[in-house]
Amino acid sequence: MPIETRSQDAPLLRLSGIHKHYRHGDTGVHALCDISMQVEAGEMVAVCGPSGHGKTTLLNVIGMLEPASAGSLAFDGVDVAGLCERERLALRSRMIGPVFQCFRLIPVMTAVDNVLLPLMLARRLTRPERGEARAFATELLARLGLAAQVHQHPVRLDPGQCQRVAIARALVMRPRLVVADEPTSRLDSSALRMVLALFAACQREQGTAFVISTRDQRQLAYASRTLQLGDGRLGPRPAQLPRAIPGALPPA
Amino acid sequence: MTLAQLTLRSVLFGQPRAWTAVLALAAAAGALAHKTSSTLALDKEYLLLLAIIACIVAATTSLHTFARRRELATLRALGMPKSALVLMLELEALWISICGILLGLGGGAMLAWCAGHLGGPWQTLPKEGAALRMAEAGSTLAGLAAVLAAVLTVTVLAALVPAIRAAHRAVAPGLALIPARQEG
Repeated sequence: MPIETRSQDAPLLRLSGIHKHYRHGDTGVHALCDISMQVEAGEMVAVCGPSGHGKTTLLNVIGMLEPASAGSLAFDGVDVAGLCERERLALRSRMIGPVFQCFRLIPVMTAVDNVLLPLMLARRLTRPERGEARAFATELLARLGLAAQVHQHPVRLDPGQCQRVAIARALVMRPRLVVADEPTSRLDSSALRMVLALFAACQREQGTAFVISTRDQRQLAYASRTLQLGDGRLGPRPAQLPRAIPGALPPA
Repeated sequence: MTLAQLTLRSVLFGQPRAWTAVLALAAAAGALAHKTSSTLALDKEYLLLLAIIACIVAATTSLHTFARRRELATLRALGMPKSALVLMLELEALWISICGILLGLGGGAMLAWCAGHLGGPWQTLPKEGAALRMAEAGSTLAGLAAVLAAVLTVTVLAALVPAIRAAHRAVAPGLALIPARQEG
């Protein structure tokens, strides 16, 4: 499989000269212009910028949910453009955990079933594997403060709880890269602490990298790097934010 | 949760319009059963009933997939292959058909039995109403098997085009749709 022939020295994620344009009615929209960036394992990169300036489009391109119009996207040195659709899907399932802006939970499934969904879609699980996966999903929910909501349907959860279920769903495959679109926008301080603690544990124990679009100043302080996106271009870094101590959590 | 369980839940609890289709299919399957009870010949009436069932299934699957663009885009974004999405939508259509057939045959048989025991003017109904005469079809195994096979085959074929179209929709625009709960 081409996706296994990876370079050891390559960064986890590399974007080179990414452009994205599409038509909106009669006008052409240049959503991303010449985006180049790298993300190493264990990093947390925050992308900030005003609404409508291309943050979600950039995350969609990184998450392989829409193709770039030009430029190259590579994971572990493997150029995504050279993969067939099946290989891209396999790579995306194995490497990327997405957190969508509006949670996107499946309404007829309970919280734990929603968390298990990527595993269920990736391959057929044996009975013991199913038990292990369910235990892991339950543990993830418990670490996010949702132990009592494991069997609740999304309609019975508040937006903050839905957001945490979506975060658990992104982490259940133990992805190497989490691509999250405003993952903490609906969280109160205590929920934010739990989410950041889990993110920090994933960074430390599994080397998981995070690319996060956020306007949440509380989260920006915990990013390894902050990139500013304006008019589809990566611009100069915004005014330096007070840095958090690595691994430390926001005050309660 | 297996795909079969997910699709059954989706039909039973997820989409109220699925029940409209179930009721419509129940009537059509019942009429088909009535027709099959008298003759198994492939005539115009038989084909017309199958065409009605095909239209119900195709329209329901199309509406269903359009209304659930967000959910289907989410499933694709989480790693569901296009072929699995087609299979899922086919299974949902089959569940709708199976519920419709059970309701049509079972409900018809029950109504006929009740009418037979009520006496008075109700006793004439089983001889007049097509829906009530489904009990007669249900009594013959060959007729029942013919109805099942015909309806399920038509269901699979009618749901195929809308299911394939849904599987080939772009993922990102579906994800960009704002859920009703968060609008405004």
